[in-house]
Amino acid sequence: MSNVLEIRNLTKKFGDFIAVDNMSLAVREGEIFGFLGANGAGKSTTINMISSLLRSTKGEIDLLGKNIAKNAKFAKSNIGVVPQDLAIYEDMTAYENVSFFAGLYGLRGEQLKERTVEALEFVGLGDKHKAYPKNFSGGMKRRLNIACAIAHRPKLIIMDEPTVGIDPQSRNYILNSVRKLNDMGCTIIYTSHYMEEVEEICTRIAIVDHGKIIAEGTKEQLKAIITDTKDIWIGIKSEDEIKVESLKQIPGVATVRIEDQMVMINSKAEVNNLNQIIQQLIRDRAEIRSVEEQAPNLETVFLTLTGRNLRD
Amino acid sequence: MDFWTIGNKAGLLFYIIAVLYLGASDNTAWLTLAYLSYLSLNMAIPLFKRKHPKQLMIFLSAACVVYCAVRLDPLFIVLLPVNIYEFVSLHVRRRRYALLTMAVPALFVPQAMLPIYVLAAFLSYLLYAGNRVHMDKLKAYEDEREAMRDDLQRLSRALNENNEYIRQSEYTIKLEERNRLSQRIHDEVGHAMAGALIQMEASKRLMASDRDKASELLQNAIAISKEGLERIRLTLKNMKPRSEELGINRLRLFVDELSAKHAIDAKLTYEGNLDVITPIQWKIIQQNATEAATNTLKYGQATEIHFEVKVLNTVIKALVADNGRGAPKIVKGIGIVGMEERAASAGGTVIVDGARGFSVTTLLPYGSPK
Amino acid sequence: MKTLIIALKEIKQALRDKRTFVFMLAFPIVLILILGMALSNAFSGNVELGEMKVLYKDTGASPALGGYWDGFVKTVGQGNVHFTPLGEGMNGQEEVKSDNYVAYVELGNEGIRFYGSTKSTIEDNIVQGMLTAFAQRYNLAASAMKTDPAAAQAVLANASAPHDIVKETALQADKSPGSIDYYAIAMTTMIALYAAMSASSLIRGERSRNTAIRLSAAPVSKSEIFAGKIIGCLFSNLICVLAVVLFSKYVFKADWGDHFGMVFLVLLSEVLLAVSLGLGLSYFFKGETARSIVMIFTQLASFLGGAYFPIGDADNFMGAVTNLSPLRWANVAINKIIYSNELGAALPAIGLNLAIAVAFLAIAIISMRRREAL
Repeated sequence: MSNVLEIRNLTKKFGDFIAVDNMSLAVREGEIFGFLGANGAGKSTTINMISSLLRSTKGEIDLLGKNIAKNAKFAKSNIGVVPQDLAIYEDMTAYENVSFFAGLYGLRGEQLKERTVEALEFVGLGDKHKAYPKNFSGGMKRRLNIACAIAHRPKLIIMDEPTVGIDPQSRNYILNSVRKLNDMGCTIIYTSHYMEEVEEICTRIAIVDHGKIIAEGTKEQLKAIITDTKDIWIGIKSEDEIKVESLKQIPGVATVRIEDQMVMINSKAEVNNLNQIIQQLIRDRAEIRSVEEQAPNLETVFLTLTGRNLRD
Repeated sequence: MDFWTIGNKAGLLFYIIAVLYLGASDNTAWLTLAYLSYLSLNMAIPLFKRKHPKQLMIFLSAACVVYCAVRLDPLFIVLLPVNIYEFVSLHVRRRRYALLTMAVPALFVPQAMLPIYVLAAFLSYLLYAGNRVHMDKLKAYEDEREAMRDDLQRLSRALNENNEYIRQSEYTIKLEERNRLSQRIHDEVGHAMAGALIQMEASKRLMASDRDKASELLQNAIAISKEGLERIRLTLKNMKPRSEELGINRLRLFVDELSAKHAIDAKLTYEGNLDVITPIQWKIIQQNATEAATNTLKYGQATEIHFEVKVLNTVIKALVADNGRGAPKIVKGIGIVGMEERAASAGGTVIVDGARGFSVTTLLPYGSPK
Repeated sequence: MKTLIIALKEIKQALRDKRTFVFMLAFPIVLILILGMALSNAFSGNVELGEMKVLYKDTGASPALGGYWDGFVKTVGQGNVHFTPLGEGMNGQEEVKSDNYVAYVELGNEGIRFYGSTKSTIEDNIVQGMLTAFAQRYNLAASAMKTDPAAAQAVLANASAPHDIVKETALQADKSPGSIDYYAIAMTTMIALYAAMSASSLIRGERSRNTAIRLSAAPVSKSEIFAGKIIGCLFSNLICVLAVVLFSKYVFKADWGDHFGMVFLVLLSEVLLAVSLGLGLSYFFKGETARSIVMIFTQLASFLGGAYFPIGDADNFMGAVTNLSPLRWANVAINKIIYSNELGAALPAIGLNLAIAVAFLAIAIISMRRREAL
C-alpha cells in the first residue's frame, strides 16, 4: 500500500502559540484515518494545512508523493474538504451548490451535470435538486455539505467533525456514506472528538493532543497501550455448579475467581471469547443474571494518557 | 529620533527662509520673528520628556505655523505636516492614520502651494515612517539581546551551581556510603569474627588436655565463621541496589525534599510493574520531573504537586501536575524543549497542559513484557 | 473560466436577494417619484410665465434717464411685462414682499435700483435681465450722445425689441432639468454608489458562511476568486442601475439626453469605483466596522452629492466639501452631457472614478495577498 498522504515534522505557530507541534504521520491508500482529540488539540489546524488553507510554519506535506506547497493545484484537485461548519450557500439550490463547487474543480458540461446528480444521489438528496438549503434540516444540510466535497471524485476526502450537532439518523447515514466512499476507493481522513464514531469506522487512528500525536495505530493497538486484558464479570445465582477448570480451558482466559455470586474472569483483550464463556456456564447449568465486559475503549486510552476527557 | 526630527524641521525652515529671502519680502522683521518663534517652540518639544507638555508644544508650534501661513506667507504651511505627524504619533501607533491626518490640511491649502505641501508632507512622512520602522526594529533587537544576555547569565549561573552541587553531593554520597559499609561490616561481621577467634584461641589451648572439648570449640568457631561469611554475602547482596529501587527511591527522595524545603505539598504515586523501566528511562523521568517541579515552584503559585509513574501495557507514563494557576497559552521555553528532546531520545513524547494547573506528562514506550 | 463561474454565481445570488430589489430598484424609483413630485417647485423649468407686473418710481433726479425709461416702458409694456408707476402711499418694497408685484424699480441719481422677489425666481431673473440690458444701452447711448447723437438714436431704437430678450431667457430655462429629470439622475448615481455596500460583504460574506474554506480549498487561485467576485458584483449592480435608468426614462419620461453611451460610461466607472471602494474598505477595517463605514460614507456622499436636494455651485468651504463626493462628479458630468452636450465633461469624472477605483483595488489586492486564507 502506498502513502496517499505523508506529513513530516509539520509545525504551525500562531504567534507564540504552537497549534501543531512537529507532527509526522502517513496515511495509506484505502484507509479511513481518524484524528481523535479534544477541541483545540490541533486537528483542524493540521487539516487546514493539508487542504492548503493555511501555510505551515515548518515541515512538509506530500500528497500522492508530491509536495503540496509546490504543486498546489494538483493537491487541491485531489482533495475534497468537508469543513467542520456548514459551508453552503443558503440562497442557491442544492443542485446549484454542488454544481458551482464542482465547476471550480474544472468539471464542465455533461460531466458536470452527471457528477452533480451523482453526488446528490449519493448523499440521499436526489429528490431535492431544486430545493433551497434554508428549508433543509440540520442533517440534510450536513449531507449537502458532503456532496459539495465529493462531486469531483477526490482521492483524499477530509472530513472535519462532519457529525456535530445532528440527529442520530443523519449521523448513521453520514457514517455509512463514509464507509461507502471508502469502499469506492477513497482514502478518508476523519476528525472527531466523538470516540464512538472514530472507533466504529476508522481503520487507523491518531490520538492528538496539544498539537502532537501521542499515540497512533489501529484501535486494538491503541487499546493495548493501556492493557492487553479485559475483565468479564458474570453474575450468577448459585456458585456450586461452576467448574473453574473448564472455564480456564477457554482460549484467552487467564484467571477465574468466584466470589459473592459473581464470576470474575480476566482474559486477553483481543480474544473474543464472551460467547464461549457464557455457553460454558450454561452447560454447567448456571443461572446467569448479568454480564458485564470491561474492556478499554479509546476514551479510556485518551484519559489515561492525557489525564483529561475528550470532551473537556 | 529627535535629531532626525530636528533635521527635518530645520531643512524645511531653511527652505522657507531661502525662498522668502530670494522673494525679497518686505516685512522681514515679522518673518524673522516667525522663524525664531517656530525655532524656539520646536527646540522645546524634545526637551520635555512627559507627554502632555510635549503635546502642548507641538500644538502651539502647529498653531504658530498656521498663523504664519495665513498672515505672513502661505509657504509656512509646509512646516505643518511634521508637527501633525509628531502629534499623531504620540497618540496612535498606526502610521497610516498619521498619513491620513497629514493629508487633511491639503484640502485648505491654496492651489499654488498644493504640490509643495504634498511633497513636504510625503517626504516628512517617509522620513518618519522609515525612522519609526527602524527604531522599532532596533528596539526589538535590543530587547532580544537583553533577554538573551539575561538567559545566558542565568543559565551559566545555574550551570555552575549545579556543577558545584553535583561535585559536593557525589563526595557526600561516597562518604556516607563508605561509612555505612564499614559500620555494617563492623556490626555484622566484626562480632562474629571476634567470637570465632576467641573460640579458636580456647580450642588451641585445650588441644593437648581435652581433645573432645577442643574439637567442640573448633566446631563452634567453624559454625560462627560460616554464619559470618553468609552474613557478608547477604549484606553485600542487600547493599547492591536494585535498578527499580534506585529509580523510584531517587524520585521519592526528590519528592520528600520538595515538601520539606518548599511550601508545597508533594506526593508520589506509582502503579504497575516498575521493573520494566530501564535506568535510561528512569533518568529521563527523573530529569523531567525535576524540570517540571522547578517550573511549578517558579511560576505555578501552586500548593500541591503530584508525581505519578504508571506502567501501562506498552507505555510508561510519568506525570507531574500541580494545582496552580496553569497557563492558558503555553509558550515553549528551553525547559519544555529540553524535556521533549529527552523524551524523544527514547522514542517518547511530552504533553504539556496548562488548562487546570500545570501538568507535564512524559510518555515513554517500552517493549511489551510478553 | 473559473472566474466566470464565480461571477455568474455572484450575479445569481445578487439578483435572488430580495434586498437587492428593495434597495437597488424600489427605493430609488419611489424616491424619484416622491422627491420629483414634492420638490417640483424648486425647479421652475416648466412653469408657465404669466403676466409680470413691475412697480417703478421715478425720483426725477435724472431727467435724461427718465426720458429713456418712459420710452422703454412703453415698448416693453406691449409684451407681458407691465410697468406701473408707484402710487401715493404705496411702499414699493412692501408690495413686492406681499407678492403683488414681481419687482420694484427706483430711478434715482445713481442709476437704477432694483428690488427683486425671492418667491418667483424665474420672473425675477427675466426682469433683472431686461433691466441690465436697458442699463447697458442707456450707458452706451449716454456716452454716444456726447460724440454722435445719431448713433445714440440707433442704440435707443434697438431697445424697442424687448420680446427677443424675454424669449431668449425663456429658451434657456427650458433646457435645464425638471425635478423628475434631476432626481432620475441623482438617484441613479446614488444607487450606483450603493454598490459599495454589497461589495463590502463580497469577501466577508464568504467568510461568515464558511464557504471561504471551500473556495480556498478548491484549485482556484485567489486572483480568480477576486476577479470573479468583482466582475459579478459590477455586473449585478450595473443591471440595477440600468433598470432604474430605463424605468425613469420610459415610465417617468425623465430626460436622459441623446448621448446615452457616454452617460453609460460615467455610470459604469462609478459602479466600478463603488465596488472597489467597498471591497477595499472591507479589507481595511475588520468585521462589521467596514459595513458601517461604507454605510456612513454612502449616505454622506449621497447627501453632499445632491441626491436628496440639489446643491448649487458654491465656492466656499461647503463647495469644497461637496466636491469630495463621487456623486457630485458623476451628477455634474451627466448633467453637462445631457443639457449642454458637453461630452468632454465626462472625462474628468471617469478618470477620477477609475483612479480611485484602482487605488482601492490595490489596497484590497495587497491585503488579500497578505492573508493566508481568503
